[in-house]
Amino acid sequence: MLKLPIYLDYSATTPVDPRVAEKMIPYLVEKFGNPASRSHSFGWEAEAAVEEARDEVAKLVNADPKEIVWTSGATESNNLAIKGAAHFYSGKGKHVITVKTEHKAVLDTCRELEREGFEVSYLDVRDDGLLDLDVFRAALRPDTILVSVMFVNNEIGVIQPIAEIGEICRGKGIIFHVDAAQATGKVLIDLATLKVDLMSFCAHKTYGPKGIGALYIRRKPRVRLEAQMHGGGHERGFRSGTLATHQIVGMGEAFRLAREEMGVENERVRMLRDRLLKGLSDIDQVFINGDMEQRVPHNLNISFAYIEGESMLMAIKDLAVSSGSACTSASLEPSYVLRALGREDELAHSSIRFTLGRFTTLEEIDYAIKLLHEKIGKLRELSPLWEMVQEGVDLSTVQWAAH
Amino acid sequence: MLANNETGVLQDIAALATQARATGAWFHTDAVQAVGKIAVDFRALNAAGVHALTLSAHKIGGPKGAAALVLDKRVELEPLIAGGGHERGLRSGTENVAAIVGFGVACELAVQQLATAAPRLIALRGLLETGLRAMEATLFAASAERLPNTVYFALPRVDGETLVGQLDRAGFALASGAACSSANPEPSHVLRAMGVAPELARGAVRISLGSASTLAQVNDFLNTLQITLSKLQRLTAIAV
Repeated sequence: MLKLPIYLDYSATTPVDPRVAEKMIPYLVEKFGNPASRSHSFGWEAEAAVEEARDEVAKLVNADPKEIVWTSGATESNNLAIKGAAHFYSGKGKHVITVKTEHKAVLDTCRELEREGFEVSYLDVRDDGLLDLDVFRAALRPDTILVSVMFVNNEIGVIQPIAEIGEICRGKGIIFHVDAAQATGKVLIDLATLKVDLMSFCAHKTYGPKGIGALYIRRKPRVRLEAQMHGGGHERGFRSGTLATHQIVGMGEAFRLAREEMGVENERVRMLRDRLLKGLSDIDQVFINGDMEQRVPHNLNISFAYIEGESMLMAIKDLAVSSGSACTSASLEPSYVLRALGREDELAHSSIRFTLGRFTTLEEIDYAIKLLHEKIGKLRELSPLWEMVQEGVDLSTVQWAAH
Repeated sequence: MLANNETGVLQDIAALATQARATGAWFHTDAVQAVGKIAVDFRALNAAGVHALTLSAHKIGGPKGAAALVLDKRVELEPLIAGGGHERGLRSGTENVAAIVGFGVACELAVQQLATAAPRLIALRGLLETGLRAMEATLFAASAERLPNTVYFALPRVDGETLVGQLDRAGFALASGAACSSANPEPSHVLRAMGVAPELARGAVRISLGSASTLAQVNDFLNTLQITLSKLQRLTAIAV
């Protein structure tokens, strides 16, 4: 039996896998010790669980557990990485490079650096959403100290050329940070070969709990950071504060499951995503946003021309989807990511992000296809723009009255 | 801070805030150890000149990983974590919903239990202190107003770390200071600041009770402590 609404917003957050929740619960009730307590077995038990989880997180990305620092989530990891590195290396230069399609956690942090006197270059992307390496090379300056590029885009799912960017940065001694919040469990990450210095992770996009994340800080060659949170010197001084044992255990288990199951899971999700795409491709005037090759299998971002995004979301209430990222879905502005791809406002405004995941079923995808066919037909019947287009009017030549 | 995490001493925050207000200073208090153990009235503190108060879930029976800042609306802060503008721009990042829900329930329960919990803990603490005094313990800050659940003491010629280790093996989990600094062998900075001699501070052991602590546990503890103590003092005597 199909249960409504259907969740197709796995990039906003994922449910906690029941296997993960089960592993977390004992650490709330019986094994509740403070991992920093060194004087009794409650503390030792909690500390052992924290270290086991650190191993699991490190294993998923082929890093040393000593390179993993716990945080409250990817936003905090991004803040710690970007501000921490910029502050530490500010004696070498004050120029930072990032990309216009980054998550707000990176963009807002970079704005903060600008207020502090740093200079930030926000690079354009190609119309497929990918960063052009020539554009990147041209932006580098002798005083560039830090580059931040996300692994997988949260809105359109494209995979940036992290290996190539890493090579260029390492060659010039520039610190390279990667926000991998959307990448874990979706793409293979091998930090032994990738020349990445700092990488942000979070649990709740990979079937772990909200409120826990990690930052990878490379040891060889060693990367230094200025801590952003003080008090007690936890996590080798990089991030103070009592460790949330159950959350950490949850992230460890979620990342262990991702490592073991991602191969099979990604192929199943890809099959469903491709079925959704095929099912929608006979609708007139639909446009896919972002490259389809360099892309995670979970994501489909489509613009339905001549339909207003918000009325679309209202019409398809049976589907839990978003027209942008969760963090900006309260705003009515068209997605800044799609605008950076060169989409006009109308198309950016009529876009829907479908993100599939571990618990998405074939039945749900077929229901979604059917519903979208019905509703798009209805909404376009009501659209005066659609009517004009059907009559052969070129909308770009129309003189609109201001109001 | 409102209540000290090692000694349990309660500062007269309202009086301090009134003084601070005379100079126009903002006043923040860390109430992490106080909330749930004594009545904390932000409205009254705010009227006295307190503008911000910190509380945390995992000290009151809620989960680790959730906390809150109570803030006077007139205070403007510079956020430390940027990115998306959650929590009215003061603290970005996806909310830890499960932990926050747990925090809410823990607060609700704390309010319900406050009136009955405190007298019970004070009675248990009294028993502990009588027993400790009989063993010639020094009770730190015993004359000050303190949290109902905390006893901080040192026994003559007994190292705090050693005692805590022995008691752990005997089935009692306590600490020789704060958890965050328990890897640090230095004597407590809190006791040093109170003018306690380093030799005595090295003997410090903190007992902090909770809603699950019972009279039987307290009696057991005192018996075990007496036995452990005789053993340790005998060893010391031999060593000397």
